[in-house]
Amino acid sequence: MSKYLYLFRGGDTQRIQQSPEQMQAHMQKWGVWMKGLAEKGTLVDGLPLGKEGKVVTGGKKVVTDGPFAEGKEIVGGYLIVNASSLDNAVEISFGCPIFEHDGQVEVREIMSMNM
Amino acid sequence: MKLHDSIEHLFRHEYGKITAALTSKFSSYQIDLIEDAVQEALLKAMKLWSFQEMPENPSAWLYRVASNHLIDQLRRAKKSVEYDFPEDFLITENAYNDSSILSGIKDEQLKMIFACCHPVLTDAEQIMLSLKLISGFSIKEISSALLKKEDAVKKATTRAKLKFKNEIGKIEIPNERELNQRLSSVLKIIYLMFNEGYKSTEGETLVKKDICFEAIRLAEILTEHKTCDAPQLNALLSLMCFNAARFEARINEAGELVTLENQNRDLWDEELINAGMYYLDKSSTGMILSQYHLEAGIASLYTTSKNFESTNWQTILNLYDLLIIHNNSSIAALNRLVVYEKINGAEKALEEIKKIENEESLLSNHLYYSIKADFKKNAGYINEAKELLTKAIQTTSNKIEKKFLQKKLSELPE
Repeated sequence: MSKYLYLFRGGDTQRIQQSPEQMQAHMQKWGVWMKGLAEKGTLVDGLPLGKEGKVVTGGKKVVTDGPFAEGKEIVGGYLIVNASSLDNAVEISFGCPIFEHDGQVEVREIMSMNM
Repeated sequence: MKLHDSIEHLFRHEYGKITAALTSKFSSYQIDLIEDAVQEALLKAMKLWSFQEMPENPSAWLYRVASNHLIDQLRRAKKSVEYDFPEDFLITENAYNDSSILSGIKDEQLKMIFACCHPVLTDAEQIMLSLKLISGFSIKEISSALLKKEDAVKKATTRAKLKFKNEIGKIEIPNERELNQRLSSVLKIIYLMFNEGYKSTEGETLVKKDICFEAIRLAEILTEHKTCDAPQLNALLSLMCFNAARFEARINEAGELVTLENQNRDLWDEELINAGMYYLDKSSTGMILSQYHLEAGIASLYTTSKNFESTNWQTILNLYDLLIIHNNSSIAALNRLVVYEKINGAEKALEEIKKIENEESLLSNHLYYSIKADFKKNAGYINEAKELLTKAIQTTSNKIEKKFLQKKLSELPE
């Protein structure tokens, strides 16, 4: 069993066009999905990220806004799950409601000492 | 009495509540920025609460985020345009959790109802604005509920909002001198809204049902205000509850229209029937006998009789007679005849229908032809009944009704 990180991207265009009723319905789907993961012991941690951000680059530590050129590329949140393999982690991500909004999940293994 | 006040439509209702609170504070002139701010708060909430439990008081949280966002935007706007902030625009941290703000929102919603149902707006604009600003419907939801093109609704709402913005200003509860008249036009709009939702149509039943319950909710908000809690308001509420109680039974699983006679009465919503009785009881004070009282009385008799056969037709007819004195609409006259026929028979009903046959509005209404067809059938004139049903089918564009009439036609003997 290893830990995997989901990075959520995109879906913003669809999100802002939603009515309050649709927003609530979407939110409730996330709730159901996360609760399911928690009950199976799959869920470790996760939080959404705000829109604002800065990037510090290079030896000169240049601080810039962004790089948020493309809405699709912004990481909107993350989740850490327990899974038996990368494939298993990918499979678990299929249930994520972000796909309703045409979003994207990047699945990455979190390195650990006992590999 | 409080129906359907649950978490179910939290976002939709918070949209209305917060929009009302902020409009009351910053005037109708800021409605665009206010709507943006509320949308922004809901988006934030959606993201956060997807990952975490909702806070204990989600309303207070949303209100705080929305008003912060709005103040931020107003400050930015202030740099370019001279704008007077209300003195108390800076809400302190403690104030967010102050329950008085949230309980005050009821009054603010009331002000918003009067503002959205303001006489500078047309009836259609009043319905659309109420749905948009008080009930938190999107343009798309409004267009599918009112069976209008999305583009048309968008244009109409923009126009209405412009009037709302420029001609209303500070939103308030009308003073006592004006209140009665303003209240009766608010009731009219609420009833129109309810009927938009109640019309039987194909598809989209969910959003239509929501409109009916929104109309009930708005009326309930009015009851919480002493001067608005008038007998005619309670009569309207009663009427809407009785009709809404039969909502599910009107269409069967095959998507066909079911007449009152054949409805499965077990499907009628008991909670709503009880609410209807409660409000009917509350409406029977004072000297005013409004159209809503009569219609609520009729609806109560239909809804509370054990079965179709034991319906108290005579009392219903008496109420219809009064209704027609009150509001001589051709539809009321037509509905009255349906009851009249139950008591006096088809031949006499056919005599009576001649009195309204020249009403132009009836000639474009399929109900007129289908009701007359029933009378003809019951009097034994099968061929004429067939002709009338064919005419009825041609007159309606509603698929569910067409199907219903076709079935009726096919059931007539050769």
